[in-house]
Formats: sequence, structure tokens, C-alpha cells
Amino acid sequence: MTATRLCLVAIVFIAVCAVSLGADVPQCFAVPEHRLAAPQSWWDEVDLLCRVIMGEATGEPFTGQVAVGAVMLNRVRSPQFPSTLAGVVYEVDAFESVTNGLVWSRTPSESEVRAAELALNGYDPTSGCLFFWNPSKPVSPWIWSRQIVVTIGNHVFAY
Amino acid sequence: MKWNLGRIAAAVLGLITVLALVFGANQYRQAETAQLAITGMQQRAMFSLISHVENMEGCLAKVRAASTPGQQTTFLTATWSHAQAAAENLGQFSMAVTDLTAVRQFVSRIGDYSLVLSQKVARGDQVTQAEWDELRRLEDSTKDLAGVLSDMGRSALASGSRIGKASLTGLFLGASRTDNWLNQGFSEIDTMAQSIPSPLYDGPFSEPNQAALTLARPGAPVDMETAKSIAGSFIGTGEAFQSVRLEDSEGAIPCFLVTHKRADGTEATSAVAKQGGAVVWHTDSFRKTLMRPSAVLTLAQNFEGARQAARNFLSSKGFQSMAETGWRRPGADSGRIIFAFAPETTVGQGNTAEVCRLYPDLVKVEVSEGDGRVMSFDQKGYLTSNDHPTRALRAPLISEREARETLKDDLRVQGQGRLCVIPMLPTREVMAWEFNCKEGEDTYLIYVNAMNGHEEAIFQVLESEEGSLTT
Repeated sequence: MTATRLCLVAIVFIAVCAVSLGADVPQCFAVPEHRLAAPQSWWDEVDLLCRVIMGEATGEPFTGQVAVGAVMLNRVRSPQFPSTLAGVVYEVDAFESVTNGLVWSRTPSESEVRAAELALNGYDPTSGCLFFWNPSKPVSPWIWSRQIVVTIGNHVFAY
Repeated sequence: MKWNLGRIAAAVLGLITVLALVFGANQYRQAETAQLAITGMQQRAMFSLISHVENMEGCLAKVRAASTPGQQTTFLTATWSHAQAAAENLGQFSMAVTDLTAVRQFVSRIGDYSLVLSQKVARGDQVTQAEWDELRRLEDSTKDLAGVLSDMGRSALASGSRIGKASLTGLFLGASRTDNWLNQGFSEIDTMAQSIPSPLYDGPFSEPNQAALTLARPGAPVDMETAKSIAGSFIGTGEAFQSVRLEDSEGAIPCFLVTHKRADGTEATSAVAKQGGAVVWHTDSFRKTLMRPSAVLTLAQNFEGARQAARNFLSSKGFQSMAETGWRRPGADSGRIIFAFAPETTVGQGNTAEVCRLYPDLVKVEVSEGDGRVMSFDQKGYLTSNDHPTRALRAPLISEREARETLKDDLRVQGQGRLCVIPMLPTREVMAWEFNCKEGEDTYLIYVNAMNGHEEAIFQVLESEEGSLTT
């Protein structure tokens, strides 16, 4: 029995090690290639935007979800960021949910799709903000130098 | 050999250990490959960035030497193109550690300024000496930027042999993805970029046009309780909410965000302007299976019903002379439609009086097709533009017929031209004649300046079952 238990413990230990080692492989390798294409039409933009809203603002109030979408579109119009939605979304380390592949992990809800549509139709609860973050999570220190405009749900939005 | 339990367990353990080692080695190789790929992408972006910035410097220098408008336009446009590419390459570097926004803004504004000047030259307008001096200043700044980037490039080459090796320690403890030579270099550039004054011009990326717009007519201040009351009556459904929450928004239009929450978790949020108490925007996440309260408008369950519901809603909120400018149904089965409206006014007097549509003063209403219930509302454009103190609407100097004659002969004009005001930039609008034209199977909206006859804007109209888009 002792040997059997030792076997079982070893199997569990090796499995845990294997999973943690596997997590070091960049998530982008696990994503189908067609998902990484830049959007070519309105519905591609809705799909991309609602996925990032899903990844960044799941569980947030509906207005907060629209606000997150609006921030991304404000970035497209700003000289400080890439000039396409795909460029903004896929900017390195810009959004945690893109970096860790969460945006492709499930289908966005009706609320998240609607939030993306409203943002693309010009609704902006943030009055032009370019940044948002959750104060309870670790962020880069420089972001706190931004002028905070509004807090919606768990996110603060800033210029 | 007698196989007892101990030997079997040892054999199994040994097998598992070998498999784990093989798996681990495979994972290490994959991690190393991925790390090399990422580093390769960054280095490619780095050297592309250097190349494009050096090309920007070169093109700006050539503009100074160019004597014909054609050559000036060529090099100014090339500067813009290289600036766009440089800004895109900056997006390949991680924002997690270094703030690259000042650098990208600096590069984008040089390109934007060059493009504005090239358009000016192409129109035959005179570029002032002050504008040429500004361009020279930007050329010097670009030269400085190119110098710092070259130094970073040399550092990149020097450290290249050590980058991309995934260490065993890093594998178990978590490898860091930051590269010191990158962060240090961009920190220096960030400091340099922030110290360079932005060029003074009128373009999409210029400072005045990047600032958010304020209310055209602010009005008297309102307090929190008044804002709560305004939001409650704006919803107008008469339903009971579980709670009401207020938040402060200190953007260009300071607002109270009043959120009414229902028992099922859905919320209706209204942004009430602190000056004047207007509802700037409103969203409602109600679920369409809810019973419709009696206070909500009752209308037919079709498109025309939704359209009429939107019109009735605007009328009930005091909007006058609103013309529908377009609609979109987000998805064939969404059951809701977003309508856009713009006010119309009269310019000129007597025989020369013309109805003029004010596109910057846009109002949007989203309506549920099933019951005509308003799901969202946005009048930010209306509040920041309508009756603005700097707006002066004069009678057009160019007639509709004269404006039509400036259009390309191949175009088939549908109906009559419409007088309108269109936003060229957030801080600039022009009065123009709008023509709906067809060329082949394609539909265009062409805007001819009603004061000088110049072609100001062209949009292609894309029609579908979900409405129309202009690009």
C-alpha cells in the first residue's frame, strides 16, 4: 500500500509540474491562427471589441462595459496609440486578457456584444478617456499620474 | 524474477520520471523558441523604427530644398507615411514597464503636421514662414530622436547573443520578459519627447482637437438630489428600482452618473450634466422579457413602430425639427435599432432662405423593436455643438447648382443637393452642399463647401439589411 500511495503522490506531483511547465508556453500558440487576423469589417470590429470587453469587464456594470469599449476606440483616435482597433487591442501588454488568451476562452454574452455595438456607435461614458484599470490589482506606477475622470464599477478611467 | 508491489511501483515511478523529464525538456525548447521569436519581433520593430525615423528626417530635409509644390507634397506625404509606420512599430514594445505614449504622440504629430501642410500645398494655399519654421524645428527634434534610437540599436546588437535563452532557473521561478536596454532607452526618449513643445496647427492630432468638447451652453449648476430626480423622470417608466447609486464624473462635461438598479441586477444609468442638468447620455441593460410597465410608449412591433417610438421620445424631451440621418440594426435578430437624428434650421432670408441640417448636433436613440422601449440615448454632440456661441450660420455664397457643377462628370447625382453643416475637426465645421451620388454600383456622399466651392469630404455609403455605414 505504501508503494501504491507513493506512486499516486508521484503521479500527482508530476502532473502538477507538467501543468505549470506547460503554462510557460505563450498562450498565442494555443489560439487558432484565424483568430489573430485584424478585423476587416464592422462585424469583425464588433467581435474583436466585445471579446476584449468580455476579457476586461466581465461582471462589471453595463455602463462600465461600454466605457471599456469606448476607451479602446478613444485610443484609435489618439496620436498616442495605434491607429487601428487591432493595433490597439494587440499592443504588447496593453490588455491582460489578450496577453493571457482569455479573450478567446469563451463566447461573449449578449450584454458584452451590445456594449461593443454602443461604443462603436459613439457612446462614451468616459468623456474621451484613454486608460482604465482596477485599483485593487497591481499596475505600472506611471499610470497613477493620469488624470482620473470617473469610477464605474471596479474600474477607474483616466485621460 | 518475482514482481512484487514495490518493484512495480519503482518501475512505474521510473517511467513517470523519464516521461516528465522528456516533457520538461520539450517545454524548455518551446519556451526558448517562443522567447527567441518575441525577441526577434522586438528587434525587427526596433530596427524598422530606426529606419522610419531616419527616413522622416531625410524627407523633412528634402522638403526644405524642394522648390515645386509637387515635390513638397511628395516629401511631406512621405514623412507622414514614415511617421505612421514608426508609430505602428512602437506598438511592438511592452507598455507594462515603460510609458510610450509621449514618444508615439511625438512621432504621430510630426506626421500629422506634415500631412496637414501637404494638403495645404496641394490645394494651392500659401504655407506661411511660421509653418516652415515649425517644420524645421520638428526636423531638428526628429534628428535628436534618430540619434537616441541609433544608440539603442547598437545596445540591442550588443545584447543580442544573450537574449532569448530561457534559463532553467527562469523556467521554474518565472522568467522576466523585460529587457533593460529597451526600457532604459525608451525612458530617455520619453523624457526627451515630453520636453518638445507640440506643433501649433489645426489637424486631427493637434492639441486643441484632441481635447474633449465642453457644453455649448452650460446653464446653472445642479446638486446631487436634483440630478437624481432628473434621471428618475428621464427614465419615465414608473417602475420601482431596488437602489439608486450616484458617482462623480469629472471629464470635459462634469456629470453625476445616476444608476437605478433593478431586482434582477439590470441597471439604467443616466449622466446628468452638473451645469444645466441635461441628460448627456443614458443606457439601460433591461432584459426584453420583462413585463412592460404601463408608462412606456406602446407601439407596433416592427421597424416603423420603432422609428416612431424614437421620434416620439425625442419630441417628449423637447427636441424640435429633428431629421433622421440614418439607422443601424446591430444584427438581424438583436431586436433593437439605433436611430440618429440631426436638427434642421433655416439660414438666409426671403428668397434665399434654405433649410440647413446640422450634422455635428447629432442625437442617437436606441429602441427595442418589440415594444418601442428606449434602451439608450446620447446627445453629447447636440449639447456641445447646438447653439454654440462661436457658430455663425450665414447664407451660402455658392448655390446648389454651382456646387453641383463642381462634381465629377461620371457621377450620377440622386435628387437635389442638401445644405448642411458638417464637422471637419472637433473644433471646426463648414457649411456644405451634400450630394448623394452614384458611380457604377457604388454610392457616395460628397460635400462641397457652400462658401468657396471646394470639395471638402467624400464618404462611401455601404448599405445592408442592418442599415447603412459611411466610410
